[in-house]
Amino acid sequence: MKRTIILLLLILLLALPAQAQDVTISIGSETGVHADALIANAERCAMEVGVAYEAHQLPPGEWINSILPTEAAVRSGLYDIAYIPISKIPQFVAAEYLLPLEDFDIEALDPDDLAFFNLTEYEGKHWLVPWLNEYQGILYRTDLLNDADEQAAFMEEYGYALAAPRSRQQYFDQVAHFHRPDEGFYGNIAYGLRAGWINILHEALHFMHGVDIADNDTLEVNVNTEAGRAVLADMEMLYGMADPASFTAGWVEGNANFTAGRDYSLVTWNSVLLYGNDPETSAVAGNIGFQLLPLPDDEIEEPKGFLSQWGPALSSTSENPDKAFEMLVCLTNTESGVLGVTETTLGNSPARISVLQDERAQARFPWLGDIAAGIQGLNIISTPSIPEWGSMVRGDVLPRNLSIFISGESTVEETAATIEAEILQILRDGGYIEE
Amino acid sequence: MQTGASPKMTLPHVGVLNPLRGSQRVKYWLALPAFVFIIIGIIYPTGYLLYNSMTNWSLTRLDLGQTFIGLDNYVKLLADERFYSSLGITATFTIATTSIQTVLGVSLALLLNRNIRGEGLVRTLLLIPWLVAPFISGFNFRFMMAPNIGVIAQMLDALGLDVITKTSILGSPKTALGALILVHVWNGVPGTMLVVTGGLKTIPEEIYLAARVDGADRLQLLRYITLPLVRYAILISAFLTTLFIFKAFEMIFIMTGGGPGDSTEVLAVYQYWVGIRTLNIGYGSSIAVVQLLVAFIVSIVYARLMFNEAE
Amino acid sequence: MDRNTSRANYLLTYAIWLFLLVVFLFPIYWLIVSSFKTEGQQFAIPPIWFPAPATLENYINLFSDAKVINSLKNSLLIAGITLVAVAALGIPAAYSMARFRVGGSFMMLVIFTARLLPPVAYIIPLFAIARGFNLYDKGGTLVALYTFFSLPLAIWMLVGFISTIPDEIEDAAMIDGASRLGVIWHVVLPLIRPGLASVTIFMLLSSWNEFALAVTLTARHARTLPVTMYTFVTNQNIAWGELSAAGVLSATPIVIAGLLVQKHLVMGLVAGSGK
Repeated sequence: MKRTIILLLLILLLALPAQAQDVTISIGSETGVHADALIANAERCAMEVGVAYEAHQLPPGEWINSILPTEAAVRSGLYDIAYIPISKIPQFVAAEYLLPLEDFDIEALDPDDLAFFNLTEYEGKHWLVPWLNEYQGILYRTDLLNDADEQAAFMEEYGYALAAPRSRQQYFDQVAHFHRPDEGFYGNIAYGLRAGWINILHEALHFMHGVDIADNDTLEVNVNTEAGRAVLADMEMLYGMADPASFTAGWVEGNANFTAGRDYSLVTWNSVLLYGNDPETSAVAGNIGFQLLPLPDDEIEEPKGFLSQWGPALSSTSENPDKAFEMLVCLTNTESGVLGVTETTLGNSPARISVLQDERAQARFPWLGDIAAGIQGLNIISTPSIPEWGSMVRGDVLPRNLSIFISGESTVEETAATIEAEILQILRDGGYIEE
Repeated sequence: MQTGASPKMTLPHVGVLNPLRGSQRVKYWLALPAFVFIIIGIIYPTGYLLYNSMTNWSLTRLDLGQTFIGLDNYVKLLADERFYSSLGITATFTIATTSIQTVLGVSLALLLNRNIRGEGLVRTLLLIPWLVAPFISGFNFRFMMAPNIGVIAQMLDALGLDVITKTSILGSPKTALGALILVHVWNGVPGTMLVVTGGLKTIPEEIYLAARVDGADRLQLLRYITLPLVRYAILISAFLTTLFIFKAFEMIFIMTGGGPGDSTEVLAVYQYWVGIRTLNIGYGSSIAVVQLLVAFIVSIVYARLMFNEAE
Repeated sequence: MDRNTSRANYLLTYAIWLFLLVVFLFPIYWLIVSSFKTEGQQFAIPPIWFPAPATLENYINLFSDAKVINSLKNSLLIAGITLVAVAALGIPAAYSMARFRVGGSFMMLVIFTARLLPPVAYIIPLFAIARGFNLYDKGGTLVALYTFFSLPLAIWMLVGFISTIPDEIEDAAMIDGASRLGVIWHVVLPLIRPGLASVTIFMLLSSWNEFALAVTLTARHARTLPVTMYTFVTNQNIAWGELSAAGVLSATPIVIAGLLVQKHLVMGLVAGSGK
C-alpha cells in the first residue's frame, strides 16, 4: 500500500513537469559572441512561451560548414531553430530545410525595426530574423589620427587634413603615412591565412571601388574586369604596407596584432569593437575609430557597404513550428536584443534599430549610435544568392587564389583570370549560365 | 612479426574433458567478435565511400539529389592539376617527415641507451610532445611562429635573422612546408624513439662483449651489430609513421589551412576542402578513395618488407 | 655500457641532454606559461617568458564552466570504457591470431586498412545512423566507434607481445585443466603486462584526443573535452589563455599515465618489436 502511494507520487512528480513543458524547442547554433547573446535569452523566452528548450552550441566552423548541412541532408529533426548567416539561405532553401516566415504572423517580428531585413528575402520570402548585423569597415587609431605632429606632417605631405578616412584614396594615404616598418609599426594589418577571413579585404575593396563582385541578377562576374583587377592591385599595395603578421594571420592573430597597438588600421567587421575597446585585453582601448567602408574616389550615385547578417531560422523538420515561431519572436525582440548587448560578457552588434538606439545598449557600446546613424544611407551590396556562392566561391575559390596571390606566387592578371575561370566553371556546373 | 611456433601440439590427452578439441573451436570464437566488428566497420564506410564517389552528391545543392554518374568523378580527378600538386606535396611531406623522424628517433634512442644515470628520466620527458593533443600543439606552434607576436619569430629576430620573420615562417610558400615537417617530427619523434629503444633493449650484452674482444670499435659495433639488430624495430616505426603522416590533417589545417597558396595542401587537406568545406561529397569521396588506395599500396610494400625481415 | 666514459664525456652527454630537452620541451613550456598569462600578456612584445604574478584566471574560468567539467567527465568515462572494450575484444582475438594464426596475414592486412579510412568516409553515414537509431549525443556511440578505430592497432601490438610467450607455458596450464579463457586470464595476461601498458597509452592517445567524430556525433550531454576546447577557438581573439589551460588540463592525465608506465612502455615495445 505504502509502496503504491510512493509510486503514484513519483509518477505524478515525473508527470507534472512533463505536462507543463511537453514541447521542447531545440536551438542549434555555433558558439561565439553573438550566438551566446542569443542563447542567453533562451531560458526566459522558453518560460514566456511555455516550452522547454535545448541549446546545441557547436564549434563555429563545424556548425555551419558540416554539421547543419549534414542535418539538412539527413533531415532527422534535430533542430527546431537553426542559427545561420544570410549567405547560406539559398543553400538551405534549396534543400527545403527552412520554413518561410510568411507562413506565420510575420508582423509579430516588427519587421520595420529590423535593419536590412530585406536581405533575408530569397525567392520572394523571408527566411531568418536578423539578430547580428556586422558591418565591414575600417578600424583605425584615433590617438594617432588626432596627434598634432602627425596632422602637421600629413598636411605637409598630402596637402589636406588628416581625418577619418572617407574615401579609398584617403585611406591609402593614411596607410602609407603611418607605415613605419623600421619602427615595428605598420600601416595596416590584414588577414592572410588561407581561410574565409582573407576574403574580407578583397570584398571590402570591391565596395571601395563601388562595384559588386558579381551581379546578383545577371551573375556577371566582376573579377577579371578593370575594376576587379584594380581591386587586386590595391590588395597588393596594402599587403605591401602591412604588418608581416598579415601573411599568416587568421581572425585571432589579425585582431591581436591590431589591439596590441602594432598597426594603424585593419579592414574588418565592426564586431572587433566588442573587445577591441576592452582595456583588459586591448592596448588601444578607447583609441579605436570605426569607419564604414568609404566610397570610391569618383563620386558614385549609390554608396555601398557590406554586411554580415546572422539570425535564427525555422527548420522545416520541426514538429512544433508554431511554438518555435513564438520562441523566435521572443528571442529576437527588443528586450532580448538589449539584454544580448548588456548582459553578456562580450555583447553583440545588434540588428534591431530600436536596440541600436537603446540607451542601455549605448551606455555599454557608444559606437552603436554611430552605426545607427551611419546605416541610414547605406546601400548594402549583395553577393549572388545561389547556394554555390557561399560554400564554393567564398569557401574555396577566393581564399585559395587570394592566398596564392598575396604570397607572391601569381600576378594580378593571372589571379583575376583564374578566379574568373573557376567561378564561371561553378556557375556552368550549377546550370546558371550557358556552356 | 609473428614468431610463435605453429600451433601443432603433441600433447597427451588428459582428463575427461579434452581441452584440445575444445580449443579447435574456441580459437575461432575468441577471434570472431573482434573480426566481425572490424570487418563491418570497414565494409560499411568503404562501401558507402565507393558509392558516394560514383555520384554527384553535393550538400550545397541538396535539391539536385544524388545521381549515379559512374566514374565521372575519377575522370575529372585524373585531369585535376590541383590533385597532382597535392599528391606531390603529400609525397614530399610524408617522405621528408618519415625520414627525418626516423633518423632523429634512432639517434635519440642510441644516445639514450648508454646506461647513464638519468637516462630514463630524460627519455620520459622527451615523450611529452607525443602525448599532447595535436590540435593544441597546432595552435601553439601557429601562435609561436607568428611574426611579431610569436615567440619563435622574436627569438629569431633577436639572433639577427629578421629576414625570416619579415617574410613570416608559415606565411611564405618557401618555408611553410618545412616548418610543418619539423612540427610533425617534433610531435612524432618520441614514438620512434620509444619503439627503437624497445628494440635496443632486446640486444644481449654478450654480443657486444664478444665483438669488443674481437677488437671492434664503436662505429663498427653500431654498423655491424646494433643497427642490423634493430632493423625490424626501425621498420615498424617507419611504417607507423608513414601511415600516420600520410593522413595527417589537424596540425596542417590549423597552422596553414593548406596555404599559403597551395604549398601545404596535402591530400587529406584537399579532401577536406572539397568534401567538407565546399560540401561536394561525391568528388571529395573520390579523392578519399584514391588516398585510401595509395595508402593501401604503401602498406603492402611495408608488409612485404616486414615479412621478409621476420623470416 | 662504456666503462671508460670519462668525466668530460659525462659532461658532454649531459650538455647534449640539456640541449635536447630545451629544444623539445620549449613548446610545452610555452603552452604551460601561456595558460598562466592574462589575455593581455599572451602576445606581448617582447614576450613574457615567465608571467609574474602568474594568473590562475584561465584555470578558474575552466573549472567554473559546467561545460568543461561535464566534458572532462565524459572524456574520462568514454576513454576508460573504450579501453575495457578494446581489451575485451582485442585480447582474445590477438591471442587467437598469435597462437593459432586465425585469420592469417589476410586479416592483418584488413586490420591495417581499417586505420587508413579518411573521416569524410564515415561522418555522414554515422551521423545518419546515430540520428536514426537514437544514438546521437550518447557516450556509448563514441565508445563503440573509438573501440572500432583502436582495435586494429591494439590487436596488432598484442599479437606481437603474445607471440613471445613460449607455447609450453600455456600447454602446461592446459594440462592442469584450465580452459582457454582461463589460460588467457591467468597465464597470458600477467606475462604481457608490460605490453598492455604500451597498448593502453596508444589507445588512450587515440580516444582521448579525438575530435572529428566527437564533434559530429555529440551536442550537449556526451560532448568530449577536445570539442569543448575547440569552442574556445574561433569566436573571439582572447581565448588562447583558456585554450592553453584546457590543453594543459587535457594533457595532464595522459602524461601522468605515460610517466607511470614509462618503464613498461619501453619494455613493452621490446616484446612487440623485437624479433
